[in-house]
Amino acid sequence: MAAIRIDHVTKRYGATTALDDVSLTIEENEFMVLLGPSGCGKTTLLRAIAGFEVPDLGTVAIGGRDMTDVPPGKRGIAMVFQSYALFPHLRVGENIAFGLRMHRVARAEIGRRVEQAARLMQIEGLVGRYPSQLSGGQRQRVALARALVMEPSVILMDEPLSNLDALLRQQMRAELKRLLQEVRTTTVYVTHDQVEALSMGDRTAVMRDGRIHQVDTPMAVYDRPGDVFIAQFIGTPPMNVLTGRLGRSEVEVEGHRLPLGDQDGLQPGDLVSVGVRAENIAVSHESAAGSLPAEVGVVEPLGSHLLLTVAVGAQALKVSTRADFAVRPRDRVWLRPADGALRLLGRADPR
Amino acid sequence: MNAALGAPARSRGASPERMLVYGCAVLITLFMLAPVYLITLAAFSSRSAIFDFPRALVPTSLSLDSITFFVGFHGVLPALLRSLEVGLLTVLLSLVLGCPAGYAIARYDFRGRDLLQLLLVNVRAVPVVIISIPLLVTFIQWNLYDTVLSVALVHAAITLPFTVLLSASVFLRVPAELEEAAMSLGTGRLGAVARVVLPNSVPGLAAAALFAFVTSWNEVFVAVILTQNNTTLPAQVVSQLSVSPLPFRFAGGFALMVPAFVFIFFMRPYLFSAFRVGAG
Repeated sequence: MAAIRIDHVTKRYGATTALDDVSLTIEENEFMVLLGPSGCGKTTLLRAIAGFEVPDLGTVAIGGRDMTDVPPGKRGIAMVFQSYALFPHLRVGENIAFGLRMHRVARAEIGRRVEQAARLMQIEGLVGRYPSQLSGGQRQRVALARALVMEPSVILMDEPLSNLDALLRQQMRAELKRLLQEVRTTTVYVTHDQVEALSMGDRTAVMRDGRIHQVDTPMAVYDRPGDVFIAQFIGTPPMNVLTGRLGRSEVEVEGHRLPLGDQDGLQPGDLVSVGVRAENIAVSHESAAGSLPAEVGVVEPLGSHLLLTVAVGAQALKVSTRADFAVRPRDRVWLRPADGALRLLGRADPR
Repeated sequence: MNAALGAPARSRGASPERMLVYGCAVLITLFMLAPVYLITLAAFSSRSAIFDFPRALVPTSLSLDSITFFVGFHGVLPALLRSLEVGLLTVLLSLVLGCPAGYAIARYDFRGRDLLQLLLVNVRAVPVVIISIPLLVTFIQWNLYDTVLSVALVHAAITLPFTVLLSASVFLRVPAELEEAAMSLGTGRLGAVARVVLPNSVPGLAAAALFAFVTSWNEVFVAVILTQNNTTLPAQVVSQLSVSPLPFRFAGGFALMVPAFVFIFFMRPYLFSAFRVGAG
């Protein structure tokens, strides 16, 4: 229930720069996902919001108040840790009540709110147990209850689902999303899993090397990645990236011209990277105007569709097509990107 | 000990590996317990039985004569109480001074940390004999000579390196995320230590306390040097050993063992604690 404003935050550890002049505004009640590979600074940014890291430069404000030097317990935040960080010496009920006790909430009120949080997370039957007597999924629920019971203005989550097995993770993903829509609170969610980022967040901030590369809705990040890194980090399979030479209103890839809309400030003649999603390429056995010849390398039937790895000249790309498309390795096929599906991703490194 | 405890969980039935582990455990236990048993037996035998040959391995003539004689002997009871005082004071000093240092080593990456750890280990390499005379002079100047405090101070110094290193490893096993969780829920750093780190460190700190107490209880040299009239029990027993009759020696040996056993007995639940540290 509070907006977060991160203003030009820099954090260094010795020679490495964990956060490099990062600015980000998270709106009230927004679900913001920080996405990036390990070591990209996403956890450091979350910890700076929590107050476990003090930025070398810049400020962190929550709900309009400068919190840069305020200790974690006084920021109105609650955090869910990757390891859950349940207190092993306290029972589940005492774990959930811990924060309320520290804030000297009246005993009757504590009892009421713990019960309510336990009911919300469906762990009423576990309040008398110790954390070591719980399964991973149950611990996860206790950790969430312990955070939610504080009725925080901001919930911070550090890869909360990464310790669960695949099936449980999928269930919790949907449940967590429903839960957070219900409690309506500002959420910052760190993950390296692009599926979580796409499926859960209102917006996603993609990070790398201590910088934020792009902030947008998940669909926009998926459809219009800002650069080659994001194109290849998000989506399964990742976006195809081709190298070609830019023309006036087209790009020439391996000697074939593909129409391209905007030039993004680049000059005709520049060597550029263009991206196109596997599902936005039509595959055919016959040649048509504006299509590229390609040789099939690998055929992977995935049930709902086929995933082909094909070669256009020296460049490889993945295309998906309907499951009953008859094709074998070494076949010649024709590829035609859907209109307007080609994305200019920036200048390419000369090879 | 861990191997012996872990073996049954891994394999049911009498595998050769398990037999070997149990065999070793039994041998080691016998090796440790045999002298204890013989001393206890002798301490509770009648005076005549002690001089029997061959010595009986089972109790034949039980009697409290030796024990009552020893306890009633001039100065023994006050020395025993002083030994308790010194031991408890040593534990207190050792933990109060050692735990914060251990915490700093475990949680903070500060300049000279590795050197500090190395020096701590090397403190044990300095023979107490070498520093005993300067210590004696200093304590006389400070008016601490022949007091419980002076012995406890040196015992604390002897046990501190171990306490620091052990508590550091104990604190390391408590995940830093637990502390951060506590702080995010409203405690300060000290509150997190008091409410989360210490409760989860009880078994390890109990071991450190145990070590400090037993070390102090068994220490003779410093106690002999630094005291004259207000000596501890081991110092008293040692100084009278050569001139006392055999029953007195057995009774004294038994009296020296008992408090250590009692202490271990009470600390035992914390050494093998029910909940596992870090299982959150």
